[in-house]
Amino acid sequence: MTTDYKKQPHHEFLSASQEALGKASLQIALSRLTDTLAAGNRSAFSALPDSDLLREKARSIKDHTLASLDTYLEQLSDSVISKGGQVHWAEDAQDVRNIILDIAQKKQVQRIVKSKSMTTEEIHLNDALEHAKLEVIETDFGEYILQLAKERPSHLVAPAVHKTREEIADLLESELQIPVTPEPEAMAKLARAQLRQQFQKADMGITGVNFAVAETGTIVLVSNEGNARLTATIPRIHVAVMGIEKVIPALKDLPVFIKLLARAATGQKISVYTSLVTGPRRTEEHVGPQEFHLVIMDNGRTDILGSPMRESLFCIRCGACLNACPIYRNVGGHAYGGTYSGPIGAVLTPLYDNLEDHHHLPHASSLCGSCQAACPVKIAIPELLVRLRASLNRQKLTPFVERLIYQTWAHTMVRPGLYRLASSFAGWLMRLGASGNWLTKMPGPIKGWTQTRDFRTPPKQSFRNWWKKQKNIPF
Amino acid sequence: MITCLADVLRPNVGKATVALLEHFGATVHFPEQQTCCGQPFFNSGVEKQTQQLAKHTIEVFADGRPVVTPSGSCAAMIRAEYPHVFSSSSPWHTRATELAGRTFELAEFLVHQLGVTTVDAQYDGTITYHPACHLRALQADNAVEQLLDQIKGTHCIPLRKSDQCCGFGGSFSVRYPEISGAMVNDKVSCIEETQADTVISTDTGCLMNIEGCLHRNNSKTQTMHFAELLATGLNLI
Amino acid sequence: MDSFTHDSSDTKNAFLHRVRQATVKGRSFRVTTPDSFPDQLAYVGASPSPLHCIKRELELVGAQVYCLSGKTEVQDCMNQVLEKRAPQSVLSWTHPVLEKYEIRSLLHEQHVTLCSPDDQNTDRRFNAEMGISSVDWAIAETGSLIVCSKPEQPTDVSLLPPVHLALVEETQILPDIFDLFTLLESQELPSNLGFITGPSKTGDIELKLTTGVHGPKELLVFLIESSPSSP
Repeated sequence: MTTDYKKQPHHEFLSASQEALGKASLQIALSRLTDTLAAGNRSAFSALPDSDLLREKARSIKDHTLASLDTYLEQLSDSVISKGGQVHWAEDAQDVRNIILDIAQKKQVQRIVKSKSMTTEEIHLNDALEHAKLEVIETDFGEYILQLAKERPSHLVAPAVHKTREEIADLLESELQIPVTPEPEAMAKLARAQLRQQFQKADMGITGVNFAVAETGTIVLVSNEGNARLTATIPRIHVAVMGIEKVIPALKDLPVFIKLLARAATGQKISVYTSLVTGPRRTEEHVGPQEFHLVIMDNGRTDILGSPMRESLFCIRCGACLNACPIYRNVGGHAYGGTYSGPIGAVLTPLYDNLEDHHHLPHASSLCGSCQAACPVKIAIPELLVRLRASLNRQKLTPFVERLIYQTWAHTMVRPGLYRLASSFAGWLMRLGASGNWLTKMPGPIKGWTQTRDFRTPPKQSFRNWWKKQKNIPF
Repeated sequence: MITCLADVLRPNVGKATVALLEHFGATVHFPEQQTCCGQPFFNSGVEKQTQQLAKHTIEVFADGRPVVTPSGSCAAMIRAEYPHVFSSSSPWHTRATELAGRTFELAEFLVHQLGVTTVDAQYDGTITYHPACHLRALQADNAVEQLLDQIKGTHCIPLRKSDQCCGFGGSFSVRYPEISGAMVNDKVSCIEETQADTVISTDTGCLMNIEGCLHRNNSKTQTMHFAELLATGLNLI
Repeated sequence: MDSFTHDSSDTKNAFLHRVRQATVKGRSFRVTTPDSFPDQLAYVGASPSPLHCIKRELELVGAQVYCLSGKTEVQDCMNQVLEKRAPQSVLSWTHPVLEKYEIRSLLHEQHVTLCSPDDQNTDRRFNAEMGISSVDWAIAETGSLIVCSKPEQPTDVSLLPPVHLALVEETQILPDIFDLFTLLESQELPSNLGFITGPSKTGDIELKLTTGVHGPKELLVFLIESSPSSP
């Protein structure tokens, strides 16, 4: 089985989003998902005492950790080793792939099971493993479906939201050659049976990491299905891959995040399974992995850490900003063209990948702020997007005409006389082109505006002219 | 501060604002050199021009009086963003922070600064209220509701998905008209569900966007700025 | 140590050096947060009582709860469960609570094959029809069962079988997640500590809640009230 997770070299947010807007089944699925999850987020936070201050606390823990990140990573590494685990340091995606391939080769691994991990998605791990003739199975139900369909996840916590039950049933039938009715129950039962065989055969389990506790060398895995727990328990080798930003200092910090994560993501008080994994199985134990490997990955994060975009490293990947975002709600995850979608994806994809190829993303926001309001660690996403927009201008990645327009506009605006002249001229021009008081078509770059809207022409007398008349100030 | 959009597109909002402020005992000054706070430039990441306009605005409002504006987004621009526009070592940073500390959105100024808790206003009609997104940034979102509740004769119907953006977002609506269009269509269908005569908001940008879509859909629902509603209710305009 | 750790100290040092430089640079971009936080921040606790609260929360997350008191009630209920479900084989812990209610002999009487913690036959473990365990703690606030891996408490008991039955005594219940972490401060962590809150769930197909795609499809909990007479 090959998985085509290759990213498009230049993803056209514009055309992809238009396509998404035209797909009725996707529109229904998106509004159902985001309405449910966003409402869950709001009610869960309002029901939790001091939730706002708890979010501030989570934020302060993240900020504090990043201010001594090197120390905490070293401590984490020491703790993991003292518990019998092994630690690997990966500067980039290639390093992670090599490290895992190396372990697989040395330990005669043939079959690998994975539980949903955005980090491994980010580094296109499956491609590399399959290329090395290893069998890799995604075990999260949604991810399993997507692996069969050779598609990418479109939501952080509901990766297959873009597919209908009929599409999934057809897919399972044709890929597995087993008939199944398009009922979620029946399909889940089929998947359970299939994946159980995979778990029993697997030599290695690969997971991501939700949190890593420096003090104790514990990695924390959160899931609702239990596949992360299986992946970290059944195969003889467990490899966990984490970005450097996943570390938290101490065990006492963990309940702060546990209380926030599920509430933010789905509105649950806690996800069904939260596992604290501290090293491999102990010598007297018969169940659990015999080896535990932790891969600590940079992949561009240190560049972000030392920049004004640092706050983006607070993200705990809950997906709350996606559900809250009116743009995501309309276009879905695939339009963003990266591993991460929604508002945080519009920040992370240009940072992790590059700004030039993703120049559409920082502007794919009305800056309404609902992402920040829903975020369990209150990341100032609108502010970060504006910073990226500024980088686009500084690197001259915005069209020349656009920059010229802004220059001329500002030139006018700092000259009140010129501003008055220009605004009355514009008003006159608009009244000239209008039918009645309304413009139904506008030219040039603002043409799109009038596809759905009319524009009311300005009245003849502006406020400032009225004011002057009122106060008898001569013109 | 009238804001450039209201100055040109909805001068009535300015008139209503002046009338309200005077009615509640304030003396209104209108520095005529004012133009734009620089928000469109800031939002587009045009740093140099943002600074130019911020400096211009800081100079225009240098006299130390409270600055009141009938727009949550312009107030948020000055209050939340101005201090970040200049590096903390720049003298402009100090001046920006000073201005930020005395800039208010109209409803918030009436309630929290002038202490207006009761208004004897009457407006017969059914309305629905779209809270502009920037009130989130100001954390002042209940001042408007507090005053709306006081207007006699007004039946306010709750708006579904009220806190969802109307899709304007300044340059966003020009860059991504399809997505912005889908958002405003969604907003307008929620407004039409309420069957209200009038939709109220606090930002000229949102109102311009929403009224444009309502008009395109031949809707009977009118748009009104919060200031216009309150001033009408008090028989001030 | 394995051979692939060669050069690892160089790699590690170079890595941490880069992180250190970025960390220092990043300190100019720290965010403002409150200086201190109240001690009991976001402590939910259990009201009206831990037992009431955990029952409510367990039922909310889809567990089947049996409130019991005394050995006879526990054994009767266990017999009913076994009769109704007629499992051929059961995975189980070895645990004082299970011993106290003589679960092992009860299973024996019902002719159920017991797969003990040290049985290493994976087929038997994978094919067991029920897992029976106690808990290390339970959390009233969220209805979570806390299970620590130990030789006599294998993780897979609460993971592989389609039905998981847990015996929880009132004294094992903590009010809030924070209480658990206070206790853990002074303990050595096991290789695996699991929070289990309800049966395995997914909403991956059209958001339709479906149970048992990976973990147990059913979670049964015996909540055993402490009576003044029992020790």
